[in-house]
Amino acid sequence: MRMQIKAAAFAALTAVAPSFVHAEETQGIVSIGGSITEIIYALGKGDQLIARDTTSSFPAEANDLPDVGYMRALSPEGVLSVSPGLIVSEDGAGPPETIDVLKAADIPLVMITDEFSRAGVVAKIRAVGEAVGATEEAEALAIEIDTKLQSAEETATARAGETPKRVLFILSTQGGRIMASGRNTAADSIISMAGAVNAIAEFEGYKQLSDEAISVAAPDVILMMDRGGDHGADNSELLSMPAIVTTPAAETESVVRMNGLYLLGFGPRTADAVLELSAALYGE
Amino acid sequence: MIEAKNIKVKIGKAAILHGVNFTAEPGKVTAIVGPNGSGKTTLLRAITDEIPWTGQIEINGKSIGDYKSWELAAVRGVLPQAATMAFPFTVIEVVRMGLTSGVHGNKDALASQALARVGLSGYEDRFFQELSGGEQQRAHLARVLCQVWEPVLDGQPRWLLLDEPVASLDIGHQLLIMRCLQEYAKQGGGVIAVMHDLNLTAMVADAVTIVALGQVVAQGGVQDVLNDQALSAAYDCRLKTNTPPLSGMRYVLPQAAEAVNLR
Amino acid sequence: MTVADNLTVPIQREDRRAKARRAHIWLAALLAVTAILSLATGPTGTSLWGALGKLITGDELTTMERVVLWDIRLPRLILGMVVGASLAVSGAVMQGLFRNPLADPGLVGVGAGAGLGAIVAIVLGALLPIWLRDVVGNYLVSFSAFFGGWLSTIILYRVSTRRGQTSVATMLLAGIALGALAGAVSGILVYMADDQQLRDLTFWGMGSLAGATWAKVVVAVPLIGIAVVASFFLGQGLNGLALGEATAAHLGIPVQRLKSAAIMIVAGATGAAVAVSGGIGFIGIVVPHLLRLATGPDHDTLLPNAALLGATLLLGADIISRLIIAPAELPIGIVTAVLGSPVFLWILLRRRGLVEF
Repeated sequence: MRMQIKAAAFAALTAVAPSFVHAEETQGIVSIGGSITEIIYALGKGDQLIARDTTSSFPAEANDLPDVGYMRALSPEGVLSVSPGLIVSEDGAGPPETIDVLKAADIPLVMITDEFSRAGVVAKIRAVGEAVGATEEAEALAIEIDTKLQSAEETATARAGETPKRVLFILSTQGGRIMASGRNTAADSIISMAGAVNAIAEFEGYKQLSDEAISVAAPDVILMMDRGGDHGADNSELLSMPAIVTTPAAETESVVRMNGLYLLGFGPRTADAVLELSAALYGE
Repeated sequence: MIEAKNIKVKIGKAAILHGVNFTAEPGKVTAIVGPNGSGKTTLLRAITDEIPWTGQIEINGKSIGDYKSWELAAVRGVLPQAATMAFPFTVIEVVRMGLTSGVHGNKDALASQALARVGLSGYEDRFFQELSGGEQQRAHLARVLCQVWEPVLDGQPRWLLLDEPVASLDIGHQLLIMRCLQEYAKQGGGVIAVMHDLNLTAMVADAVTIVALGQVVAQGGVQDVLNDQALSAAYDCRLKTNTPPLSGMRYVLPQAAEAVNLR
Repeated sequence: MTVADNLTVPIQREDRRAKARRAHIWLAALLAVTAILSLATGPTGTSLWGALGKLITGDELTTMERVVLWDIRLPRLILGMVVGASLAVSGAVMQGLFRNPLADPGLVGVGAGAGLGAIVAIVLGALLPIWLRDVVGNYLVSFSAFFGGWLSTIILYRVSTRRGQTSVATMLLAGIALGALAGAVSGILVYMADDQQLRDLTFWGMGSLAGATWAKVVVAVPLIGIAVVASFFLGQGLNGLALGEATAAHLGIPVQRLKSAAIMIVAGATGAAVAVSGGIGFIGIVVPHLLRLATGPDHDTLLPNAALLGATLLLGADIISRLIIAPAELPIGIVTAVLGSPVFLWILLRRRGLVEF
């Protein structure tokens, strides 16, 4: 069918040269991914946003925009219904059928890769800026954030001194099962950037840990997101769980909670997050 | 003609039938009687091919193994002792299920007529599950009648094979049903019925087979078979038969029996 | 007296068979209306009538109109109809086969196997060689689910069939065992999954027609269509089966062939439906039940009516799922569950007054 060939051609073009797709004054931007939304606002293009996804909770104005749903379960007609002129998205939006339909509808679609590091944040800012036609503002912001991050990381390292603390990031304790972060996650990166050490080094991703593994990991501090609901066992509940009660973190009652997007989003506020986390770990 | 030769049936290690020979002729009501556990129902179930058996069974001259399932359904109808019902069918819907192969004419008319024959006129739209046990049994008989409506088809007799067809009926309906079976046989069809009521048997049957301990112990007309010696031996108690002079119909009364073990 | 004399008696009484046959027409009309509604509504507000008008006058459709109506709504409509019909008919056939109004297509193992297939594809998909992934593309999960459903059905069938006779009771028990096994393997894979894969899995389990594409339509429609139409021929057999297997056999019904056909039909129809739309529940139980209450359990009319009503209900649920939290979409399995559970509860409570089967 003609449309499939057209879609294929379009896909080829957008894959090869993402910079090909941008508009001078793009109306109707749909932003998918909490950090993408933050960056767009930080670039001063927030007034061009017409919709966002569920994870975009900052700044507060973003919550007033229509919500197109979870980024991996987008509905094609739903996205089209907000009349997007441009879609800027974190990598991994889906399902693939929806992406195909959006391409067939001639909607420009830019996927931004995510890398959990200072360089990654800076590249992300530049890529988003290019996509929404704010290259100058993006360059300025990128340099500013780069500097802030570098300084934050140095401060954090200094605070840590000779003995960096061991931090265990817990994603959820629902049902008494502890889901913790290993290597290669956003949590792992932010912990290193804040001058600490991930207490778990044996696996990648988020996995359920056995009670003994947690004892062996012996974290000094437990880090969690403060979202309430089933992720939020309060501190006394948390520290009295059999897996945790034997850890140094429990003995010193060291639990740090921070907003999820703020801590793990790897966007414009990451430098502040690094400083705040390292202060929580080591003091000012 | 239904002919069964050297029928052996085993359940597990236990032999239920030890090489039984049995015949039934069309135009006659053939009753199979015998004490509990004698194998009479087993014999019928072998003929209806519900259980594994060895030997030879022929219906209308053809071995039942040579019949396809729909061909068998066209020559014989089977009334089981009990049947289940999984869904809330109405009576007419159940009876209509008998209208499978080899039926001519207006199908709906037949179903209602079959119900009339078994004394269930007007029951068409009642829910089957709400009927009493006896009514359900009669409805099933109506279904079976629909299946083999014409007693003779293409020159071949059609058969009703019934396992205790009147066991749960009151006396009035017992007589109605037995007359219905008699009528069927009179028109050329064949009827084989496992019976537990000896008096009804004596009233209606043209031929009787007594089965005891997995063997046929007597076969023949009512007068020949339903006598003191044969019955007492088979049922393991002293039974006396009698024949009132006016009706000429033999009867057996429990009051006149003595439960004495002859062995 | 001969029998032929009595064959001229006309039938005055009208029984529910006529009502059930009239229902064919009502339900078909309802389906047509719902289908048009499905094409005409959506979060974008694209107008069906406007587009039809343009087609008639020979004007060009806008890209938006073309994409929304042709790429999104029309495949979704077709897929919704066949999946809805498939679920309802499979439910009715399973209930007839197991002689139990609460039986579910999942009892033949299709559900457990399809679910496991989907999990394997989602979690282990990256392990496949690149060339295979390119061939299969986005449809890896669908293929895997379908394949898993068939494999588990075959296993279940083999286990419960001895000497050419399938025992329905054994099938039920073996299905439970297979379900437990599939659950265990799934559990291992869930443990191995990363965060994204877990979310994909969750959404798959809730079902959705959002991924409807013409490619899926081209594969699903013939498969499901053949299975559903084939099931219409099982009507008399399933009726007889309600009296018990022995009685059905005496009526001349080829019982073993009936069972095999029923199992294959359900495996094919349900497998294809689950493969293209994920896990959607309640249609298979609620639709046949409602129809039995309204027009009786005669499978000759029940099966076609179930196809029509199942298609209509699923389309209705799809319309709700598309509009209720627009521009986001509620997974359709949630809509059928929210609407279906009270109906199911009502059915169960009502049964207390009826005779036990």
